[in-house]
Amino acid sequence: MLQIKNLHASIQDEKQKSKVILRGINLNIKPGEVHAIMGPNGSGKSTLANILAGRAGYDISQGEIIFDEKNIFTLAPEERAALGLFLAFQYPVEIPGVNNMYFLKAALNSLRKQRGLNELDAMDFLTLIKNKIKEVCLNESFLHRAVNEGFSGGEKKRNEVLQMLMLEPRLAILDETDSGLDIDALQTVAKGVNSLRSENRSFIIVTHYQRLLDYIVPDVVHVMVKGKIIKTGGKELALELEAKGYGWLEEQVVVS
Amino acid sequence: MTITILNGKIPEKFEVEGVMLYALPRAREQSIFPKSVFSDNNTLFLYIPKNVRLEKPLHFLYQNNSKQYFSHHVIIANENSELTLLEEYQNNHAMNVTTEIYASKNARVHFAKIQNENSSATHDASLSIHQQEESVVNVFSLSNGARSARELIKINLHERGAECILNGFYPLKNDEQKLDYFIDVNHHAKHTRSEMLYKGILDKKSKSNFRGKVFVHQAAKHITAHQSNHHLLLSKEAEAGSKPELEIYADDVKCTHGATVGQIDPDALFYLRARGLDEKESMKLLTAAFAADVLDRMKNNFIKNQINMTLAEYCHE
Ligand SMILES: Nc1ncnc2c1ncn2[C@@H]1O[C@H](COP(=O)(O)OP(=O)(O)OP(=O)(O)O)[C@@H](O)[C@H]1O
Ligand SMILES: [Mg+2]
Repeated sequence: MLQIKNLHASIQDEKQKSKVILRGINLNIKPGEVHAIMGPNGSGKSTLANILAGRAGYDISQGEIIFDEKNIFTLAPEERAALGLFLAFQYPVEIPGVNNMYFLKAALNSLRKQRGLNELDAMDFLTLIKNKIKEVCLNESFLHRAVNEGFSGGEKKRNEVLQMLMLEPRLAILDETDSGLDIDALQTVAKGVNSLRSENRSFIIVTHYQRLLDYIVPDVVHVMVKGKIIKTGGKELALELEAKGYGWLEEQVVVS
Repeated sequence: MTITILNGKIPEKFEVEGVMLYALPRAREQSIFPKSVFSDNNTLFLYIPKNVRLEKPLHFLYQNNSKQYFSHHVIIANENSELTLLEEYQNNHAMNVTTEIYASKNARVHFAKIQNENSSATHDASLSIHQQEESVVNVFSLSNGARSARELIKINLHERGAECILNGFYPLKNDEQKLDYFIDVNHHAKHTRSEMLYKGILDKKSKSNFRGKVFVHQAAKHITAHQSNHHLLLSKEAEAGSKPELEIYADDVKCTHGATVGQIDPDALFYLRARGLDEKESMKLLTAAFAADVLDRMKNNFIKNQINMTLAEYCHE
């Protein structure tokens, strides 16, 4: 479903100096798989997620991103969304003045239109969203507020999951959707993901905590350090990281 | 009721809900005002008697074609009266207009203006308002038209309890487009209140210049004055100048002012696009969000409708 080949990316920092962030990422995600990406702060996990979703401003010097046999490199964010890519942001942005429900309806209908489906009318949309919002345990009043404005950290993350449930992506990237969540919220997020799991839908779960992976059991776990995936394993790798930290892996990299 | 002033032809006399509206030559005959006050014939004179509340908005619509045109509006809202007036401009050449509003004790005046002149026209307007005890005047203006436009506004709160609320929105989008606002609010008396909220969205090489001055005279204790002016720049070449000024000679006053010039938040834009909205639609949502609070200040449905129609047409051009 998704292949990333030798992806190198850098960014111009505030002093206009080029800073290399990704140094040759390779990933191969098959339909139905759940991949976890772990790694220390600043290793480039969010950068990878943002590049996949189409954020501008990165200098991609090498590499390819193939989604469903198509190179999506030149596609705009909305075109990638239409293909079924979804990013649950690590830090969802607050957008004052834009109504949450209006936004969700516009987004869903825009995707449906791009996919050649008919747009949902107000009634059908309302029925749908009232069901989905229950699944993430948010009060309906959140639909009438501005997008993420004044939402608590946990409420923002639930709102991201709500959007995922509404938009039904084919590849969902969850960037630390578990950070800052209480135990109940963590289970809500996991339930949301698990309810969408199917043989032709894939997930990339970026997390610092093995705890989430108890609820969403991954097929593959990757460790990213300094812009490179330095180790790939099964779900037991997450347990090992929890016990030993990243130090032992970084030493291995230096040696090799 | 809409009064269309085509090519400068002012109707001589109108009756609206029992209130007479006169062009100046006829108003002179009524001798309500000293005959020397006005010198030309392009004056619309509106006198709302005591305790009369006009329910429906009055609408002056200027559509004159080719030549420069001068106009003068005098509105007298007597004690305890109420009036809603919309001035709308759709001219092709040059418009000069002076509007005077006198709000007597307890009067309510809702004054709105849509300056939607042709993009090659010029517009020069001066609005002066005099308010007596406990009167309330609401001013709302949309300025999207003209190549070059100037708005001079002078508010005088003469007596205790007078309140003036000024709101404006100016979306500019043409290279040569230029707009100046010079607003003076004078607090002469105790317990008077003024509030200003002006917002501009500037695209291409358009330019706006806003100067808002609040002057609090020595006798004007316990007054409240708020002033804010915010801009959204959609292009690197657009320019918005903002100069809020406060001059206070009284004690115990509550005054605030704030001005900002900002751009579209790139993170917000990316967020919307990542959810499937295209760039154009996302920009539309974010610019509408910027203007939402000031546009929401207009409560009159008829005027709201005119504003929305003007904006819809303007955004499609
Ligand atoms: N716009 C930017 N300007 C300058 N540096 C940036 C920018 N974006 C990212 N970086 C840098 O790139 C590196 C990788 O950042 P990224 O956010 O991808 O890390 P991460 O793995 O997601 O970290 P965390 O676990 O803390 O979320 C960091 O050192 C960060 O400071
Ligand atoms: Mg991150």
